[in-house]
Amino acid sequence: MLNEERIKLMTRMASYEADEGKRMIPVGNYFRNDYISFQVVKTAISATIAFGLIFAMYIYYDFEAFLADIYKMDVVAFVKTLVMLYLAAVVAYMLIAYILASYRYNKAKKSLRNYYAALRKLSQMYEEED
Amino acid sequence: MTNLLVMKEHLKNFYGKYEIYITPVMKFLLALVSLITITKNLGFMYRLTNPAILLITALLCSFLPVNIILLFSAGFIILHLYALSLECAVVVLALFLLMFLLYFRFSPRDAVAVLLTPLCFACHVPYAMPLAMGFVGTPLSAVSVGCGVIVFYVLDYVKLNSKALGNLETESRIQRFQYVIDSIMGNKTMIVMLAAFAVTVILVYLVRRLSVNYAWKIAMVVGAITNVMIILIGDLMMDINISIVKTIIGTVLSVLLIIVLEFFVFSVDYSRTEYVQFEDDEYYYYVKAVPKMMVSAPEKKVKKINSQKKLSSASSYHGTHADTRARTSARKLDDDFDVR
Repeated sequence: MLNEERIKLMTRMASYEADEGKRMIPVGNYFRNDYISFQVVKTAISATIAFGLIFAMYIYYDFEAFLADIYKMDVVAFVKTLVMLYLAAVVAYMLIAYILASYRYNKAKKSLRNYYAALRKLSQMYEEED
Repeated sequence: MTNLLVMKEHLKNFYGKYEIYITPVMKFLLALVSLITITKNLGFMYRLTNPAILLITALLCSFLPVNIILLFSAGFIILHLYALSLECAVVVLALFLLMFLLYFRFSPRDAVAVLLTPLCFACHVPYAMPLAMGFVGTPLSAVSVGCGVIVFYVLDYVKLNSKALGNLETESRIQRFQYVIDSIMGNKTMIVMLAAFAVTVILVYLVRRLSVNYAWKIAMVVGAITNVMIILIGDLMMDINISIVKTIIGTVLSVLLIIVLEFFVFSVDYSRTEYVQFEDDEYYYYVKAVPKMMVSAPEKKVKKINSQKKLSSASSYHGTHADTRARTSARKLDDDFDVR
């Protein structure tokens, strides 16, 4: 037997799943700390790649001068500066990612509240029918 | 005005009914226009200029998410540049990678602005972009628009210097790389435009959110004026040749375009017919959900009540709470009088 109320509820839920829910439901499947750590780690990886790319371009831009200087320069001091710059860039980016991930997690949880309520109502409807 | 409002309603109904066809067509057109613009301006790789390839790619984009158009456009640009000079292709590839890694990974929904900004430049209405993103985006959209400005100026530089870039065979690879980087980084017009667009996006966003009447209109005017002012100041400070007349005409055209967009797109809720499918233990459901059209609220009547007349003709008032209160207290006074 077709239950009209149930179909209405399921349609609303399917519509949410196809639109806003597409972004929110995967976020809601994580625990808060897991989601934020995952985002921060992903950001650290992309920031590392970006830093590598910028560094490679910087070196290649003045490659001849770099090759000429490499025997004269204080390599330890150069590496130290490089590591400091890298850490500063990556930590700043991780901080931004942390703030953004916390904001998005809270937003997703808020958006999913109605969806979870609809899920509970649906399961209640099935129980009543049985 | 009434005709325009009727047209708006028709558009809304039309979109609600045929959204399933309109969205892919729009994506197809956007992809096709982007690819044609790229081919027309940078058609260095002969094989990619074949219209069949452009059409097939645009058709493919019509069924895929919007950001895929960006991916295909970036791919086409890099291939064309590779045919011109390897150094150019490497620099632009690095630029695209940096944009993706540092920004668009965080905010993929804004990525389409990178595609639309160079297109607006090509249509001579670049100033529409910061205004539009200020209206529909967030302050962070300034970064997207900025990326679009960088992409446009880099490609414009390659287009204008294609002969010189193609004839750098005699110089070493490193020198060619230096030449490309120096020319891109030293583009003062690009820096002025970046500053102007970024400030405009943020300002339009801030003003349109103010709780004052006509916030949208004020934001539009303030944004347009600020944009022109920053470009003019930048022009004077950096000693570059930006045409003032062109800037002002471009800004006016952009404002007109935004007014049209605001009327038909930004302020309209294009709720659409949805096709959803799901199942339970007994059935498969294929549901077409058609949104109910909202009936406009009846016009409110404002009744002016003159306090002096109220006393003399209290019996003629009906309906409002104030009148009821007035009559009740009048009766109370009468009762008090009787008791005494």
